Amino acid sequence: MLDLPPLRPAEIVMRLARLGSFHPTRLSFMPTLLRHIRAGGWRFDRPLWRIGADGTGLALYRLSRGAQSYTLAAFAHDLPAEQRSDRVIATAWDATFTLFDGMPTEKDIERLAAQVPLQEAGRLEASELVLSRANRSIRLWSHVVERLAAGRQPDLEEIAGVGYLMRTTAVYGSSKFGTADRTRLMGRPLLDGPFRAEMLAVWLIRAFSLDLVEDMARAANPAAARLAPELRRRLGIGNSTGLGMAPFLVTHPALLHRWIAARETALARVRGLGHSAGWEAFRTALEDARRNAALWQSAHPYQKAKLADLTRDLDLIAAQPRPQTHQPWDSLWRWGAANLSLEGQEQLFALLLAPHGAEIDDLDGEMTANETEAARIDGAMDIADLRNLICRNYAWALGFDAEARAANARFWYVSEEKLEPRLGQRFEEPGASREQPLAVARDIARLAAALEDTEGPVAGFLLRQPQHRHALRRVQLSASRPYAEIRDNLIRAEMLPIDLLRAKLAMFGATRFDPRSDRWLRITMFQDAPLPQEFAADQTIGNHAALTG
Amino acid sequence: MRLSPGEVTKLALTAMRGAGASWGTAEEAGQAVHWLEMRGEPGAAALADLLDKWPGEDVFLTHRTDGPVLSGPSGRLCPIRAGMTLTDHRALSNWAQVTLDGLATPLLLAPFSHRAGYRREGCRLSRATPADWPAGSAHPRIDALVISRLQAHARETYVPASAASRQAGAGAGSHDND
Repeated sequence: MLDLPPLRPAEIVMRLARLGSFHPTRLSFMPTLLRHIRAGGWRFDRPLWRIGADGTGLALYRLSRGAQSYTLAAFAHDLPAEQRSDRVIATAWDATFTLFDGMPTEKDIERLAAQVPLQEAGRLEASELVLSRANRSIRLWSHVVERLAAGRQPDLEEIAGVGYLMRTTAVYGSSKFGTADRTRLMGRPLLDGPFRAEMLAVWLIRAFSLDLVEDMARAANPAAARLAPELRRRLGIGNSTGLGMAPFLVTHPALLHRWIAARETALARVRGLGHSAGWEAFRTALEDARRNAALWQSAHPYQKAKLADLTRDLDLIAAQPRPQTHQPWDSLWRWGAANLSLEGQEQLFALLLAPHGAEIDDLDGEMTANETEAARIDGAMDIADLRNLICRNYAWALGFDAEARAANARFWYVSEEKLEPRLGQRFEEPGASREQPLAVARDIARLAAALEDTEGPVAGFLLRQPQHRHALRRVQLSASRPYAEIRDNLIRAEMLPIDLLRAKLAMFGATRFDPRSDRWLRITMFQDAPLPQEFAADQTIGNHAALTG
Repeated sequence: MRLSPGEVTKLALTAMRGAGASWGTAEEAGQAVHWLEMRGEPGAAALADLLDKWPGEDVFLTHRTDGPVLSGPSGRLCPIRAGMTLTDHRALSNWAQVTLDGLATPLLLAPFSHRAGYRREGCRLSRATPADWPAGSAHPRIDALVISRLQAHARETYVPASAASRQAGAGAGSHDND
């Protein structure tokens, strides 16, 4: 490596419009999980398939290494069509799941069978790592069952158009509904990393959806065809999600910094390379990305415009010759930053990382954080230093009138009905007095105003004005973590919550981001990725460029 | 009922906020109750007791010849606010001894006094090297009545649904079964 270019400044990286253009990279959590499964020598088996001819029952999917194992318990249900809904207010699903720490005994299974199908209304224990559920894709499910039962393969275009047989509608972990805390997984093989348990559960759910559809076809006709292996790979697992996950990036500032810092460090390392040995692999990833863009459908005008940008930019990238400079990737990156849309720049970002696993994959171990430790107040800090920090890291929050109607148009709240985050209209709906602390820009502006004509240590200020503690904590936390804060006003009238969702989902590794409104959407996960069955015997993992590119 | 550690933190935080504390104070309450419960101490019950008659967020700092005195409104001092004041002032500490006037539910002060390096005897704190007090890993068992008392406060932070918010708040309304 030659001299490392500096990391990009937060005022470039942390704008919501850019975060809302993120693409999955090889540091995303899904490809990271698969790399660790392969490198760790983990083995897959399906110790139980107790699904009846009516398509209901229980199946167990297990990943193990020596004495260590993680097991997905999948409960298949008979769901009347009129009860099938992706929304969080649903109370019944086609299938419900938990990821169990180890191998459940019959007694565990009895308990899980009573609780897991209830989802939010059930209670789990520390041995459970994830709680989830999924519904069938009506469009694709019946098509596949019918074709297989008729001894034929499903239509490739139908498969490409939907991309999955089942859609998860929630994936809960990290202490929700009684599940294990993140701390239980610290130092654990395979699962000590952000959202690893959740990603593992989803990957196993995908395998279950494929097995179940074949089983249903066999129930209709014992001589039904099996899904062709290349078609199995083409099927990912869908996910329908909404505002529930939006506040996470704001409520985990230390973690957000670590995620972004790892990505930016990776980019800097690649830009610093003095050769372009990865050029062929880059071109392969580029072709995968063009195929992905061609298949990526959305009816939402916002996303349609972004897809048009992406398609145009991918053509521009493809027309670029191999740079002959002493830092070829840096040259390509600089060209992209000057000539591509945000959508194209972030795609190029993912493409630059794709061929460089040897240089950057170690960074996937740098993506955890202890929010509690990071949130400790430094009471000895002088108010003058605090003011300087605000000037340095929060100029974006002070450059507009945060109390103006358009800037203050909305408020985040938690609904009494589902205890889920929601977004309301401050001047049209009741409830703004119960606002959640996600109005970072406005609250920092209020803190800055309160600090005028104040001196002495922070401790004295907070003794008198405890209402500013939350905002002040963020300022102190950001001092050594420039990427901790999304540098945009999250309550302005025209803010798009789907941008928050896209950033997080891209870091998960999700593809085919498809907004259905400005606040809920669908995605596809693990499409074209290896299947658990490929780890059942001594098989090598295939090329999963779609996930890494 | 067993709650996961994260649920303990969230319940305590939300209850404190619902009782009227500002977010920063509520966050400290969440951490304090979590800290106690993971050490087998009934922090959640203590918070429920405190919030039944919460003295409010005001803390008054005065200085006597024997050191600083913290007190609250109506002669009662919130242990969370007192604790925050101790930890915030720790690095500035010329406070060898501190008097806490009218401290309510003293158990809730323990996470803060432990971190700030004080030992409490009655209403007097004096400097002490904190003994090692490691956390356990089991999910704490909390009385259902305590949970429901805290939930009653937590509910004050939730916004009831209206027909409009059901549609707009989560952004549904388009077809989702296909």
